[in-house]
Amino acid sequence: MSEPVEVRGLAKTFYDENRGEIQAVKAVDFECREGEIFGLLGANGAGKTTTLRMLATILAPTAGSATILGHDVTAEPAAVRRKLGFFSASTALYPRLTARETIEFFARINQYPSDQVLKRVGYLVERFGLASYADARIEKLSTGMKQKVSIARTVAHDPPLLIFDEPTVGLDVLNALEMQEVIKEFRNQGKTIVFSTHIMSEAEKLCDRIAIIHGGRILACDTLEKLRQATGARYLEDIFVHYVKSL
Amino acid sequence: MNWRIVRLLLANELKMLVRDRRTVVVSIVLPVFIMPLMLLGTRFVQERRADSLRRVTYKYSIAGAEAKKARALVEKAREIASQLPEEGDGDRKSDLADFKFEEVRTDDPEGDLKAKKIHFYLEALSGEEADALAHEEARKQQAEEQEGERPDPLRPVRVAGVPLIRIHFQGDQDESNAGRGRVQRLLAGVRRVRSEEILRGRGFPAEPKQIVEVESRSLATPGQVSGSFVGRFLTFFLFMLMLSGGSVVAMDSIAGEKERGSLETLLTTAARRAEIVAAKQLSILAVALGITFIQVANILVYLTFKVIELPKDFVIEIPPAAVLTLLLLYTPVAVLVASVLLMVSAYAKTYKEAQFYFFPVNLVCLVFALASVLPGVSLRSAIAVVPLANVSVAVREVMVGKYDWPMIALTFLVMALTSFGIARASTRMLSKERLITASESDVADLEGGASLFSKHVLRWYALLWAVMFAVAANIPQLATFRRQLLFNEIVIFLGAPALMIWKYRLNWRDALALRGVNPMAWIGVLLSIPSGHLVGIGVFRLANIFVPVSERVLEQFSRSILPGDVPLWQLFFFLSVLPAVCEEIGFRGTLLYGLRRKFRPAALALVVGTVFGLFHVALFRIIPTGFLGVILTAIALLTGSIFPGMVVHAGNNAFGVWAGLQEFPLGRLDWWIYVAAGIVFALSFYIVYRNRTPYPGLRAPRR
Amino acid sequence: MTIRLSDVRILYLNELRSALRERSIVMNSIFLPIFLYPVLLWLVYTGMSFVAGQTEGFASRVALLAFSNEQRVFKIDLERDPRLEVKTSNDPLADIRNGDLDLMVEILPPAGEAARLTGNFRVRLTYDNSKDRSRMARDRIAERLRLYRDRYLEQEAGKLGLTPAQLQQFWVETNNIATERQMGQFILGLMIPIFLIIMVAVGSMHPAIDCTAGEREKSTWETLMTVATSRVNIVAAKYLYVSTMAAVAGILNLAAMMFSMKSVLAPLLGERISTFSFGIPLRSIPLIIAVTVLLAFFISAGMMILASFARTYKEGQATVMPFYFAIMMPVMFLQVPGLEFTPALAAIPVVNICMVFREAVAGVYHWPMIAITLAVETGCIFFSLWLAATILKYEDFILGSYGGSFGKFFKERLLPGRGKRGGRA
Repeated sequence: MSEPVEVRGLAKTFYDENRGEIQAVKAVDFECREGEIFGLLGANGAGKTTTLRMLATILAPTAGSATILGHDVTAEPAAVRRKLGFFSASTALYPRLTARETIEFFARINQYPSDQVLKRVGYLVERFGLASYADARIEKLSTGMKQKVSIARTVAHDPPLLIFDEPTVGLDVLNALEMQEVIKEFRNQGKTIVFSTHIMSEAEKLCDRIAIIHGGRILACDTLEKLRQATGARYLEDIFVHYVKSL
Repeated sequence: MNWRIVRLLLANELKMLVRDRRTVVVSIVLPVFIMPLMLLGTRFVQERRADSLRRVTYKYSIAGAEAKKARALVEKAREIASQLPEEGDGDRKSDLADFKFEEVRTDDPEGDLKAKKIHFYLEALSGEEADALAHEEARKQQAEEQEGERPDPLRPVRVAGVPLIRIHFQGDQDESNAGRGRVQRLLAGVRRVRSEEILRGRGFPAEPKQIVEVESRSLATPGQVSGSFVGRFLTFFLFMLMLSGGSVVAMDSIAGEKERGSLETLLTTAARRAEIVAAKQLSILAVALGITFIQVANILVYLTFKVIELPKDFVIEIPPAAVLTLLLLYTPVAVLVASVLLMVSAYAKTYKEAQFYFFPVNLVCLVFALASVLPGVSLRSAIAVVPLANVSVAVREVMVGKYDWPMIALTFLVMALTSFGIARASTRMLSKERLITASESDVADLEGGASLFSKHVLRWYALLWAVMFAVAANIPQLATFRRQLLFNEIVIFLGAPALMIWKYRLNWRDALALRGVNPMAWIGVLLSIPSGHLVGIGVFRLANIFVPVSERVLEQFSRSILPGDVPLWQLFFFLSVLPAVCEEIGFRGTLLYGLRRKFRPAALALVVGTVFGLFHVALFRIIPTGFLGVILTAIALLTGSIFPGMVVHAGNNAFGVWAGLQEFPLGRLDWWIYVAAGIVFALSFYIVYRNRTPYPGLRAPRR
Repeated sequence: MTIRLSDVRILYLNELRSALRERSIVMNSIFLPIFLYPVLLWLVYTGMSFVAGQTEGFASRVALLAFSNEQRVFKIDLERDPRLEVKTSNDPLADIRNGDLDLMVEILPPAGEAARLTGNFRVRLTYDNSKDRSRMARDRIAERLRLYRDRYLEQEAGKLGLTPAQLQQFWVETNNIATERQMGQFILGLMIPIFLIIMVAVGSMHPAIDCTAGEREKSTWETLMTVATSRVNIVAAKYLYVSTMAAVAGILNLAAMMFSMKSVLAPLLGERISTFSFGIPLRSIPLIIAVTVLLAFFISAGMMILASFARTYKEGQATVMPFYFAIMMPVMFLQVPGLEFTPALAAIPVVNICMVFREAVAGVYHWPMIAITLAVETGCIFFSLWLAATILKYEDFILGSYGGSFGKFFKERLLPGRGKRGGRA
């Protein structure tokens, strides 16, 4: 049985008129195991978002391959997308739809069985405490409320794999904590989660395994315990600096 | 394609549009009210003007030696004014009958006219005086310009010795102008009536108008005549409505979503990109058609209530077959509109940027939609393969009842393919990473210098183009060909690049491509001069089939560049050496350098060539000079140097000048000669290619 | 709250600098006014030369029917005309319908008393009025016929002892005593107001939206509200900046018009215009600039007030559109010559400016009307500023949390007798 996410030699090159080719991601390899939270830890511009976008089939890889639950991201992008929920700070919602409409729209478009859509929407509204404002337009909601709707829409079709790209960026402590709780809850439901962050404590707290990515390369990939042993450092921050400095 | 998803997306799009109250008001409700207001307002103002012109009592005076006779003529005119048959349309009949005019006696009619005391005055000259005046004028004209327009042999002229009435008026005064027009028509009527009387008096057996009496009949039904008028503007009009209607959603559809970030959300759903594009296209289509429908209905309402009045014999007959054919022709137009708008939206990163592109795209499309205005263009021609222009022409034919089925089918096919191609391009655009990851700040602005120059170079050339144009039109000192040429070459093509090099601190050797060339390549370069020139003329002749050039324009042009009184060396210097050096510096120097990384080599040659062509302004020169520009750019790209281009450019121009002086008919050779020249030309290019030293720093060709 | 000019200056220069780096503003306020005319000119010129090339090349294809020896001279006339091509046709009517033939010339016997003239005949022209080429052929033949008739009449008159001069009796010519400059000013006077007002409106629209709604969207609005200067200074600086852009657009456009109008109009109005001179009287220039600046202040104020109720750029466009149309509407109707500048017109904002432009271009100054115009416009500006100041007193508006439109705001808070809600600052 293969792993839910398998990435082999994945690379992405952009072309810029003035600077020529820019290698954002240089042949990364990793895999995520079923039911774990896999963390991509890196500074800004390390290649996290590009990698995750390739996994979500938003960007096409320049080289290498990635399979998500047995589907290749290049060959069967639609099948991949049906099975994943993608969340990032830049995935916004439609301001003129209501919360309920938003969740329903994403459930249907991701081909959740149509006879069960309404039930699912009802469940999610309940679960995320949206009931009091479910029928207000998104544009009227506060940041925290939008955040919840956003998570609800990510899992609207109950995907087995979830990708969170820096999900706590710009959130206050309470909202960030709640986000972490939600992610844990999803893991407990048996979903596989790929998660990227540049906040060390978050990775330390949440991730089962961590990949340290820098300059488009994965420098290390293991459980926190193993990383500690390998570097002799106690805190993730030190571990991270250890790898980056050793370049 | 999963249609269930497309439907879902479409419903979603439309729901969001309807909820955007401001957009709905501005793009649908407002125009519906503005149109009648504008029509009514314009009509009101115009009626008031006509009314006030009618109510005026026009004051005039009569001067000159023959004032008495002229006065008698005016009196006669007063008598017959109401009986005069009106020329042209009958609508204006009343204005001569209502024409009130009153003579004012004055000693200084011109002063009074200038002081607006009178509206016009008549100066009656005797035959001799008129002859003297005509003689004087002819002499003056001759002194001013050697090559006056030949007088039109078909225009009636004054017979020598015939008295003359000159109507002096003030053309910038509305009432003076109107009075002048009316009195002119009255006097013409008087003359007609009196000449009949004279002839009758001498015993002429018939009325003069019975001589060679003409009876015209048109085979076209009133419906066809109206149809040909409507058909001329229908496509343009509907296309404009569709464009502006569709743009309401289109601008926001992809560009707006990109800006707000919801596009990325959408891209991670199970919907395929083709499905997303299809849904968006359908929503644009629906809105474009919806708004067009509302506007057309709006107009029909005004027509019914006579807010807009149609000419009397205006009959619109559209049989069912025509309705179906029009539907058949306009369906792909609507799809094309949606595709084009969607592509603009997909290309732009933000809503603002989409709007920014919308204007020029709009302009270009409208030019195509106006093809039906061109006289004599038939669908059975090359126009059938030009998208949009073909529909425009086809609709005009259908409106007069001509159904050219094979060509209509071809039109439909071309349009369908174009729409499909553009929609495909939009789909691909959604996969372009630069549009999704738009966050990278533009490095050029940080670095400045050469990379900033790349960003600005096209703007510079647009500015130069405008300067060249405005200067030529407004500075009389530059009106002669040679001075204008000197200005363009020295100031525009030489001065501006120097300024750019200085401003952006460019390395002038690099910017001007001052590099050595493989000696072997020179053989190819030299070989390409005569062959390239002939091929260029072949291209011009080919282009002439599609864009015919008036012979007179060509003649004028060659007269102006090859004046007879210039020494030979000057001719070659001004037309060959000077342009070759300056223009190569301007185009294959700084322009090419600035654009070298913006496009891949083939596109680069095309772009630089096109810009070069556009700088030659006149339509008939754009295509051949554009072609030359592409060749010169290709040579510069292959040799990495500006010098071969200079030699080819100079040689090409010199060849043309020489042929012009010898009156050698390069433009009338047999076609096989051009083909043979083409082969030699290809060979010369092959030699250059084999010995190439490519232009450094280009973008790699597409992998 | 007092205005501190040094703060206003800093803020103003900052706005101006960032505007000059914004593509859509540069495009609409600077490039469009400058380039519109040369490009238009080129398009017109190119279109005309294309059409000329097309039509000049056409020889009108005519079929001649029932010509006899008597019409020999006329026939030779037709055959020699290079613009006509005489063709034979078995079924001319069908050929005309198909577009293979343009016109049929048919000779008929003369009727009535005209039959007594030797060599006289009647002609029937058959053509297709819905085809350009056919109509062109009719015009060409009609021209030839008229010439032939004149010659015939001259001959016949000669036989009766009448000289050509006697037959012609007298000749009428017109002479326009308006100078080329006056004609140019006349045309400019008709066209300048509308273009100038459009350009001022377009030129102010983008800056106005960008520095209000746009700032909200980019969240720089709040940053600006925290700086150590009073809000009046901020608003004054923004207002000055928008007005500057509007005035610049207007004045650039005016210059571009003067430079390219001649060539733009030449192909449209024929050869004669090439002698017109499109200059504006020098002494009018201060007045024109003054009025343009006033107009810029007025339009900018209106645009800014409306746009400040929007939260995004796009919304901003939608909110200013009605104002834009409202300005355009009256101007559209005024494009007729001969309109008199009455006190009634002088009392209507924008329209009065139109009239001042028109007269100033021609060097006419109705000072009382100009005074009314200036007073009315200044009044409008002050009213707008008062409105802006009133609006700015509301805290929720300043912080951008007010969600309604201008209309709603007006109804709820500005109309007298309504409760003042929302908390004034």
